[in-house]
Amino acid sequence: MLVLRMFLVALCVALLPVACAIAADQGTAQVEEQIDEQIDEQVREVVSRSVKFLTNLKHLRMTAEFGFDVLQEDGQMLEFGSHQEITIQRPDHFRIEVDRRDGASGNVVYDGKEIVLFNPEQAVYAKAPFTGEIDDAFDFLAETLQRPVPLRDFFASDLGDILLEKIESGLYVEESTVAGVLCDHVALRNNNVDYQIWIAKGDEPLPRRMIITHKNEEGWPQFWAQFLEWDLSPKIANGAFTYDPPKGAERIPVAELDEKIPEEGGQP
Amino acid sequence: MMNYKWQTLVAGCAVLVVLLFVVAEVEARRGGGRGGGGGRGGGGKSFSRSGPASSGSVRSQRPTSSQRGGSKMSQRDNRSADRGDRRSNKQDNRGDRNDARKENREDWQDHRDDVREDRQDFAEDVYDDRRDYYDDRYRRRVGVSITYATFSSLSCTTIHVNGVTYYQCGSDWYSRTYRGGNVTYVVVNTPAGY
Repeated sequence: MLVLRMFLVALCVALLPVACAIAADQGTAQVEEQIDEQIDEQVREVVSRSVKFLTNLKHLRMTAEFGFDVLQEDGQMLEFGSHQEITIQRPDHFRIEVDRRDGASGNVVYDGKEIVLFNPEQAVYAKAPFTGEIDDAFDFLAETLQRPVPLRDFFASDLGDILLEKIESGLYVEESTVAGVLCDHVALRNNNVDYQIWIAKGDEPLPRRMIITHKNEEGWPQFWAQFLEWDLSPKIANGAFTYDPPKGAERIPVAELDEKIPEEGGQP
Repeated sequence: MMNYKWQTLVAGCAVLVVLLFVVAEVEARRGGGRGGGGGRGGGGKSFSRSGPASSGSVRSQRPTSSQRGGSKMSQRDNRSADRGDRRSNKQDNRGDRNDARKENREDWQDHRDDVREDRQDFAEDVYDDRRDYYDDRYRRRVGVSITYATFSSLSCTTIHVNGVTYYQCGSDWYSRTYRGGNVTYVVVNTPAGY
């Protein structure tokens, strides 16, 4: 009899952690359900309003400071960053001026016919014929020339799909002031990244800050951007979307295109 | 007494074997650096400057690294081809010398020439081997690219050939290429006429 009692006690002790785990799982599931329910209309409303405002603009100039984490081979995380100004004229013109923190610059212009990369400090440029809209040109830059354009999402014609489709969860965090501007702070998740956007309240619902966390990548590297200025009626100089090589500028090849520059490579 | 001497001998041999292993290991590690191909880094630290977060986008797709991997492969191919060319040249030269030797073998004077040529062959082989070692260890290979920051630390002479700017930095020649949206300095073959 004593042996039977001891066996029952031992069985209970052994099963206790299992029971606790099941209970915890149920609790987590309930919390997740609650979170799912919180992909509320407020988040959709805030983001959709911003999307509608941005995609309706024909001309736009955005100035931002951004940084991103890069995990090094030895496991140390380093941050690099740039100051970036993007001017767009829909549907197929843009100018990107980038000043990296290390002093390098990476400028790009597109006039609907060709994409030109140029670097004034080193007096070099490269060009590739291309036709298409701004989205297509950004794809070409990222996928073919291996030169992604950070924050390109905000100039995409399908910005709404990018920000709101296939969302696993969306939270309205709080009202938050960023650089003196009162914003709605929203946090969204898809299967690839978690992202937070601070969108200005008022008549011009423009993003003021953004953070993207790559949760599926080692070290969870982040990208952040602080939007310094949105110019909704920018002064666009003649020739802003083309490149006229100054005297002495040299055309150089693009490694990814495996192109050969003709011998008179200094000529445009 | 004999037993003690025997033990001393065995212990000495063991120490010798251990020393040989240590030396071999050190040499192997030194040799490992030779195959690195451009791993010298130009005297400056080289960091990885792009990764998943550098795209600055919430889209699921991101630029593939296949092209970057491809360029690495082509660099390796270039290195192998370069080495292969030099080996075949060396064999060609040896063949020529053997032919010349056959023709002159009847003459005693020629025999002395042969001896001298053999010495020269040996010296040339030693020179070639040293050059191979130097190239492997210190020179950058065609196709290897370095950043502007690394390039700036080198002492170079600028030369213009047919509208293209070349930079001679020691024994290496560079020209400029856009890679990954950045201006990089790529090791190229010596331009014609130089």
